[in-house]
Amino acid sequence: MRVRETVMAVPAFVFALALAAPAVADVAIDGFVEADYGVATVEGRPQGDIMLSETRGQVRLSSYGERGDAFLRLDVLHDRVGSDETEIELREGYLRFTLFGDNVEAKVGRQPLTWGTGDLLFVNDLFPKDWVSFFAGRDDQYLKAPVDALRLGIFNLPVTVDLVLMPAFTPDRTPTGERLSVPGAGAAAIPGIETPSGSIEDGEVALRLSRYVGGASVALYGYYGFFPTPQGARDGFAKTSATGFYHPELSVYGASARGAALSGVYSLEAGYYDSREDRGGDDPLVPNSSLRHIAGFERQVAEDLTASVQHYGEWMQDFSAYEDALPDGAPTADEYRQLVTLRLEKLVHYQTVRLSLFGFWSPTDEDGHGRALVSYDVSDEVKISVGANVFTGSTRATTFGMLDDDDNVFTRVRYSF
Amino acid sequence: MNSIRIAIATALFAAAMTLTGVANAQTTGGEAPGTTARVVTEAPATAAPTAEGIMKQAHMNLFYPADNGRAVVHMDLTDKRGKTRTRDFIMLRLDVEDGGEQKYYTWFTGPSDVKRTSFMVWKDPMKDDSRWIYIPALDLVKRISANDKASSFVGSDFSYEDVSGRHWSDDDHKLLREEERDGEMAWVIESTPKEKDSFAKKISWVGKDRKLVLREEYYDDKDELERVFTAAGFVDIDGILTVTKRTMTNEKKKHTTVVEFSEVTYNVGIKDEIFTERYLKSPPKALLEGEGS
Repeated sequence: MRVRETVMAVPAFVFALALAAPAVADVAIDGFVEADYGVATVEGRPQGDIMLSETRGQVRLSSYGERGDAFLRLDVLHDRVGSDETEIELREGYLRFTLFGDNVEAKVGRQPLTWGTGDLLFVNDLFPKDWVSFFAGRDDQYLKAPVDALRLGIFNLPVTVDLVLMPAFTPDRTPTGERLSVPGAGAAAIPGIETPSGSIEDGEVALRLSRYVGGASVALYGYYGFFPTPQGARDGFAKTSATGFYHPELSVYGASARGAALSGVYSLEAGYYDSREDRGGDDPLVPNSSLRHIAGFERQVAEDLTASVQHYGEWMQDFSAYEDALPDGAPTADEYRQLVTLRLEKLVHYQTVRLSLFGFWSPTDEDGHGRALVSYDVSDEVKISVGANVFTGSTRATTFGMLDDDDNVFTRVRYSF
Repeated sequence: MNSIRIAIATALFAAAMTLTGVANAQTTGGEAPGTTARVVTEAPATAAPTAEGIMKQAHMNLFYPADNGRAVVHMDLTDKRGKTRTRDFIMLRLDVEDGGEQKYYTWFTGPSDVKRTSFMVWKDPMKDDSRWIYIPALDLVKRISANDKASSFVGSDFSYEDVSGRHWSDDDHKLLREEERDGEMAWVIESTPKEKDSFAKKISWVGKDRKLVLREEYYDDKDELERVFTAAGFVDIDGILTVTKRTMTNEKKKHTTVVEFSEVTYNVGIKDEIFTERYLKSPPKALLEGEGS
């Protein structure tokens, strides 16, 4: 299926190039080849010791023309932990052009999408993420899963308008038990996750209004779609009588601000998660509505050393209804789930060596996740990375506690061309 | 405190300019502008340009030529073993205010792993810069904390401050002597930071004809030579004498960065709106083509 998408993308790209003509001077080609290898440090996982064993090539084609630009990013991946076949994945394939003078910019096709102010924490960014890649030690660029979307930017108004139309819902890529642990699933994939149908009614819409106020950028957000991670459970899906996970309907309304303060950068973001299938809060299998927020601060603390801290909170709106509806003895989620993060980034040796530490800790869930990475640019072409992911938790029921056995170390060698 | 500093600097500079202006009127008569400097220095000592006035003019000529400009930049970063890395980018600059705020837009064209990354700076000499980077593979606009202007620009021997210019009012300046340098007479000026900084002392050679810094030596607090800047490749572009080759060597680490500017153009109609998130994510046509936007 991935191959088919790619085959379709190539004529689209050629068309895009034709549209970008006549000033199309040339198509630039670049990319990389890399090998990734990672092992789980906890012995006896049902999935085995190998977390990551893959060879990847990425080709990027770009062309800038008179009326717009076209870009294609194709990955050729041989993943020996996954399918063990060579697959082609279209990571990006879009055409970008301006309309109505210079006032509207359209970007149509497959693209990564990101907004909001969090650092590895997301409130108003409901665009799909690949948590499997993120936890298993793939490069940072794989955190964002590509989306098929039409993105419209409307400029020269008092606020900049970004409207993203995603005709088909794209879920997050979450642990399924095959590579990373899911409680009770063993090494088998959990029995399917029901995703919205893919018809246009099951699409997603995201909106942002933003502008600079003084030196700060402020924004308002809206989202209409589904919980990106499968959070709900319901009976009788997938033509069986089992109870299974699915993506409940979700709307989000939020705001953010980011600017300079105290010789650093602050960020503030909040969003109201309207869980449309459980507005009363009394369905224990569908998340309650919640108010989520991030407050962060980053500053350089020494030459080429940056530190940042964030606080994240998730405040359940109908906690008593949720508590009342829970079956006796069922584990109870916290009314106010919190998470703090710390990042330290150090560059040495003329920035050829990067040392990075990132920690998540939730005092309410009593779980945490640590990420360490050392990378070295041997030359303009060759980069070597070594890293580790550590998970801990007092139970297996929490985000990071679930992955307690998936601690891993990995290494990556990349040659860019 | 900053505003006091600005006020003092402005007053000093105004005084200096008035003095040189008077000197010009008295001594140069109808001579062409390019030759006035030599005549000025031959005037009585009281009428000579102040060290601060010289440094300001050199700063303006190097960092604020015209109102906006574009350049294609190639950097070679060579370590003590002779291994070289490169950085290629296209740079747009807009002066919001002469000698004051500026905006920079940088679009990397190489090497491959940073290609299409863009970088934006709103520079304010009197406070911290605002800096943003855009990482296209993640569609991520990241605001970067920028309280340390002495940190390295893209891993080179140049700091952010070296790239966009250290404001003359941050240092006290003293004219040491005049001597020949690179084929012309030069003022030799010692600058010491008013507040503790990444260097303890800087010696600058400013060409009396070209009114540009020809060489700078940075000393640490043990009075040891740390870094040396040299300017070369002087080219007249639209009547503006432009330094097209800048070199910074770290004498202690034996590391050198050579920056070469090509396709330099001035007053190409770069607008303020270029320096926004919109264009950070989607490079402006003016940047790619080098024509007016």
